[in-house]
Amino acid sequence: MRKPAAASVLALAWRFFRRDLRSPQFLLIGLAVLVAVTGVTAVSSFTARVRLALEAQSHVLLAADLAVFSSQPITPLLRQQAAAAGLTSSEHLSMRTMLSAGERMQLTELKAVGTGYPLRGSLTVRNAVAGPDSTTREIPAAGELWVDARLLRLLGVDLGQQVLLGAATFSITRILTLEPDRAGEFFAIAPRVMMNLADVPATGLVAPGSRVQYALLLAGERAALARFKASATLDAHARLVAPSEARPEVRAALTHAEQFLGLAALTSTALAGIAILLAARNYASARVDAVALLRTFGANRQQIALLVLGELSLLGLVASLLGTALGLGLQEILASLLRELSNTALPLPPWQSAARGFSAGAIAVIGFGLAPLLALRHVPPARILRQDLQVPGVRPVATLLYALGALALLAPWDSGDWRLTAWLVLGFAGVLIALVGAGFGLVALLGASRGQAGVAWRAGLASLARRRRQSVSQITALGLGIMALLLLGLLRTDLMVRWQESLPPDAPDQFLINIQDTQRADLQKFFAARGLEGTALFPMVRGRLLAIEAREVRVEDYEDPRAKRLVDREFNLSAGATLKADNRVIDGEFWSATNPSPQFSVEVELAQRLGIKLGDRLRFAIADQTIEAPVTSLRKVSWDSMQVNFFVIATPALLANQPATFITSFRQPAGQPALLHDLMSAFPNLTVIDVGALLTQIRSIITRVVEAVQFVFLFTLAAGVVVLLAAMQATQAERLYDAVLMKTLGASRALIAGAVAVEFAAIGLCAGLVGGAGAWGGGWLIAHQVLRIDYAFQPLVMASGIALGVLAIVGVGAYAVLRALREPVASALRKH
Amino acid sequence: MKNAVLVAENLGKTFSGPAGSLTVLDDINFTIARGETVAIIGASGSGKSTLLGLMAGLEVPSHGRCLLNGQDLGLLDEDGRAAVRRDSVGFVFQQFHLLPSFTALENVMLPLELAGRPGARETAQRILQSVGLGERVMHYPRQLSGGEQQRVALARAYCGAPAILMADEPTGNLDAATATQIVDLLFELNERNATTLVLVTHDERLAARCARRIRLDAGRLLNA
Repeated sequence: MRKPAAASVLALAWRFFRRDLRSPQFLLIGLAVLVAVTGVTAVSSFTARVRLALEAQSHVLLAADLAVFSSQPITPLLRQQAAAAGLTSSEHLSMRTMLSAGERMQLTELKAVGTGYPLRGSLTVRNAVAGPDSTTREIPAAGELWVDARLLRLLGVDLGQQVLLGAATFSITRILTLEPDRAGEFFAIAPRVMMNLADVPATGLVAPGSRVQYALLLAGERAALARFKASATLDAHARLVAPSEARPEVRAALTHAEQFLGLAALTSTALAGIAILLAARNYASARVDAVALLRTFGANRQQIALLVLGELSLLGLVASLLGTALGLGLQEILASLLRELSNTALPLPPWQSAARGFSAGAIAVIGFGLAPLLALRHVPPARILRQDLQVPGVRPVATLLYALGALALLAPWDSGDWRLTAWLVLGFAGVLIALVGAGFGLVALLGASRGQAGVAWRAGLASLARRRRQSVSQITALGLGIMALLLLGLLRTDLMVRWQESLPPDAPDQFLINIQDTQRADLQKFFAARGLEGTALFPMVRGRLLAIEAREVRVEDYEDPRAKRLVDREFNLSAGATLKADNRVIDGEFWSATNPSPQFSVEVELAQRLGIKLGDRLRFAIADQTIEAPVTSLRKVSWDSMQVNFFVIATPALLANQPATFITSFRQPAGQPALLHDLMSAFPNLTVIDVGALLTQIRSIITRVVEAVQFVFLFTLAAGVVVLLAAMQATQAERLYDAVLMKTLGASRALIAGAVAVEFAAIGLCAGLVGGAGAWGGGWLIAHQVLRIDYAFQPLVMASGIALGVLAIVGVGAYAVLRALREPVASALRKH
Repeated sequence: MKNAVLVAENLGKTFSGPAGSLTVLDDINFTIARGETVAIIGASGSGKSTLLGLMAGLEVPSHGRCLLNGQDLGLLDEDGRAAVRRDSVGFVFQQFHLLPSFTALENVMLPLELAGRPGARETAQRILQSVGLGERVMHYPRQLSGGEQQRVALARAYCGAPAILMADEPTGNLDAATATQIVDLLFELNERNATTLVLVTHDERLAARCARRIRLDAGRLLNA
């Protein structure tokens, strides 16, 4: 007996592959793989690029890759360690100090910068008060100051004039519009003045006891930064700041976007997997006779397996290569949407993203496609003589396990989140079981009731009942498809709503601080006259936290650097009778007018950081007095709402006799360009902080991300369409034969169309209802467990999703049958 | 019989279905010698095709045994029986059973490639030439007439020089004139290759061309 040659079987596989490229079932497997790989490649390349760009952006917000801030001068040792690690460095120091021009004096935020500043990003300056902004890599030269535009107004001076800073005289040469790390110093309330670090000694401003913050900015390769982090000798005054701490608003939006994009990619892959499974089953059915022939000619099971595996691998390889290329092309489009995210060009996608897409193809092909095709090994050779011989089908449990295994392998890559994966895999399995049950139930119910209906109904329902297993598998596949699309549709809407709510068009862009108690009434009149009625003023009292539940609060008791900073500084305490709309009590109860006893409400993350629990008594020192009260509620604050908010709020009576200033925020109304000028003229002591530029930046990022999310949703839709086609293909040949037979027996096209429509509507409705319920439940779980956003029931989206699903199913199914009926009966019968 | 290529001993086949069990073949005994031409004849439903399936190891008997080239097919597993077919049996079917996506040449090469035989292309080309299809080797089945398709099937059956050729109603799908040509070609190839021929048919005239006839009626042998 000769040993079968594997090489010649593989050559056969290559021939079968080339010829099968004309088979619609085979092509559909390829199409599904293509969709999966394209989606995964595009999303993972895109998110990787966004992550890299954001990292770059966050570095700009720090003006460095890493910084050391200290209340003591930077030690030579630290400089040496930075140099030894191979890092570029630059230094600056900042302090509050008075600047005088003739008789007028003004408190300023002074920043003295050294050569190389900023290491990341650039300065935005103007050469004339009304001139255009431009970016520069320079810093103020010796003897020069660059200042905030409002300082000129406050001091009544112009560019080119001399001012006195400490013991030295300087010339103001430029307006400083923005430095990259200003956003991190949100409450730097006084106007900014920037000078050259080399000029500091001449001013005599830095003396023992001066409150100065020294900074060592560092930039370099990731490995060099890690080396420095490991070796840096930091004393108690110094702290390391990494860029990730920048801009929480943007980070929150992007984390959600990334999770959603991952979910969309995973869902497309899962849908593509279902399509691969269905198409592979259809393909296997169409190949039964060819395999029976091969078995007759002496092919053993191993050869059949090799043949199938070879052919599937070739298809997977070609589709994955094409998908990777297509995905890389498409992510360029996505990336172009985000071009404005970064000042520099978006970093190139890492090679791992392409590899990830490619591997996703391999996993999807094997996990979803192999089981139905390997079942071909068991085709009995006697089938060649007896067409009625039953062919062993795929084993549903094994197929399901393969598929879930593939999904579990694919998911962590795509979603980047194990919880999301677990919920999704569990959700899919749960809905699958529900769909199979509902499918069998529907088929039985409709099959039993068909006798009471008209001809079209009877024919349609008979067809549904006769193809019981196929009907159930169609209901299952289409139901999963509808669920996945609806799930993403619902979550997408929720995310958008959440993003839009977090930054509504009327989000305040101006903050006003230092408002005195005596100015409140006049200021509110000023606002009312300009259409800003109801602008709320919040009291602000500075207090130091002394004790939590009789336990003295000491900096050294905390390890977390942020906690150390919080207890080291004074808190801005506020008071309020009611809870603000952007605050949510998550534990305890906010006070009411009926319970005005002294109480505190604390922001939940601060409470966790400092170890404050509900019921703890907090003691604060305010000027020379102390106040004490229990914490009766913990609040979650939407910091990204851009509204004024406080970590600690007290009952109004508790702060009633304390020295308070007031703070407010408002949106500058369009068409009132002079409002700020008028405000400053009427209330010269107030400080205005303009966050308009920051808001625009955040809003632009969010808009771009929304566009990216919409774009990625298209992949899922494409995968849904492939599922639809594959599910329809399963029974198409049989259905066409039935239709032609009915036509031969004299049935009108209308009657046949009616029968087909009834059958598909029943399938679609069952799939739609169960899929819709799955989407609702799944959406709720993912919104709460993963994205942590509010989830609203959206009956309209749900109903229209189900309706569209049913319409698409009826449309595609009926179209194919009706098209076949245009042919003369004889030719159609021959063909089918 | 020392020269026996195919032996059926007490062979029987029963199918079970929803309406109970149905005995299709019962107590079949015969021996076919090497180089013999044998027709198995009988009316439709007499069990001819089932007997062919059992002889070729495509199906397993419910009782009795079948020896092909001295090997008891019942003692082999599915892959073992496949190997016997690959090495010793050629087939011609009523429905031709050509792979529609393969050319005539590729269809003929198929059994040779499955057996891992070298020179499959040249052998296939040569035999297609000998059945008069030298100009049509690159044609697909849909581009060939019924007679031409059956010629391709004959070329495919003989190209591996099998010890035994089994033909199941080889002219059943052809018009009379074409059928005659195909039968002539079948016997010519058989003689040239000195192959044992087992021909299943209900056509008495075709059966008459074989040296021996085995007649089946309702699953039982009338004469051997």
